[in-house]
Amino acid sequence: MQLEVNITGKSFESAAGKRHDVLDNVTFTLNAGEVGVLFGPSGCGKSTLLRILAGLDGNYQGHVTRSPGMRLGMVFQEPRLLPWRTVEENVRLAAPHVGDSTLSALFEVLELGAHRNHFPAELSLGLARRVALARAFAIEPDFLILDEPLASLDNALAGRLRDQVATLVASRKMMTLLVTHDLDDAVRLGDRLFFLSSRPARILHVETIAAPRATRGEPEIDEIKRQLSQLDLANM
Amino acid sequence: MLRLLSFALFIATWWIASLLIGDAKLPAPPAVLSVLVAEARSGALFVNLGATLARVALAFTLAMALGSAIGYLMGRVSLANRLGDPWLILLLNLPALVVIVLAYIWAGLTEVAAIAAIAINKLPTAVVTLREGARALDPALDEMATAFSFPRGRAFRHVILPQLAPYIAAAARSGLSLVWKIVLVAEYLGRPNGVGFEIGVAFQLFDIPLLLAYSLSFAGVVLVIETLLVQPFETRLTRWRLRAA
Repeated sequence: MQLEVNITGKSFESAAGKRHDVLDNVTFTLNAGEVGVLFGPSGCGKSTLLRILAGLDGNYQGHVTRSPGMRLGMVFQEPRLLPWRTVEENVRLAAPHVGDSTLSALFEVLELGAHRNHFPAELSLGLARRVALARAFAIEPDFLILDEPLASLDNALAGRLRDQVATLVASRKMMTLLVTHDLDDAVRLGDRLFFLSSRPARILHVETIAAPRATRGEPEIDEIKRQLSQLDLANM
Repeated sequence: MLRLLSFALFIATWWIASLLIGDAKLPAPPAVLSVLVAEARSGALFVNLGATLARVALAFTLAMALGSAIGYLMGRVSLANRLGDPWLILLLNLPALVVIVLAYIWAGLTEVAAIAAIAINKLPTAVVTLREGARALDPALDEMATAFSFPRGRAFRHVILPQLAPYIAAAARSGLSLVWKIVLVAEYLGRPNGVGFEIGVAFQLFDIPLLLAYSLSFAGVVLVIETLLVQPFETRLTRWRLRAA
């Protein structure tokens, strides 16, 4: 499984008829077992890029090559659950073939066991996010897209959820693409970091972290973060 | 309990009014009740109520099915909307009487003409309501269904339909009351049975107890259907909302 991204441009027309360039040149390849991180300022076009990669937007220049039969799991920025279906139904509707034991294991990791029969409106944002994660993992994806899964949660909760995501990502050999604007999350979860410019987005810098995710200790993480913060991204 | 009280109040008001106005114009409840019982004994009441109910059911189903489909299409496809909109405005503002009379002239005094005329009267309101519903569909959930490659049927049943449900319920509710009103006119003008026909007969004979007996038993049927069918259906549709904390 491999994802080849070769986008040369993406723009849209606003309601007033003005042309806005969202993406410039974005080229990279992602392999199975690899976690790519898209890192960039808010509003730089990361979500637009994700929508193209997910096949939700075909209106762009360039091409994206996906392996045939690739299963996509996606966690949107907002949980996007069906309010009229319970937690378990939400997951099973996306993943009809998921086994009971797989589902139970998934709910256990994400601490959702007690909420199976709750409706999304009864959940906090943190819980709803975890249901969205469960849904994406339940289909046993070949390609996983995570659009800021930890945003707007308090630090303790975000930290716990990050560990859960790390556990789940490590449990399966798939391509993962994570969007974040938190350098700490990027360094802890990612193998390759793509630094994006502001609009129209292009890749400014690619940082490959050699040490496997599981073996990275706090000092190494701090060192990588220190080096990255010295990058003069503004003038690239 | 409160309902019972309000019903008793209605009977009391009626009785007092009949005493004031006089039996000739407004017969007292017992007089109407005896006619009602006589009609029920002869079986005529049930035949006529049954005929009316069958027409309501057919016309309502037809108009809801067709109206929902057209409304959904008009809300989703802008070409369909632009093509259909003038027709919709025309139908919305066409008086029920015109439709019924024309239907009887063109299709004869037949059952098909009656049911079609009732359905055509209800159709545009269903279209308008469902079009609003289709326009209000959440594109974010559409994207979710596409990303997780929901098959068409599953997406429709679990993503689209629950979003349309309140609109379908609203169309059903307003449509049903419209159909109740129009069916009697259609029967009055061109059917040999049904509540509307009997009311027509009572009108010509100035038989006010008969008129009231049919009117009230019809109102009773409407009430029963509303409480036993429409309201539980609405509650079921919105149960996920009721439980929201």
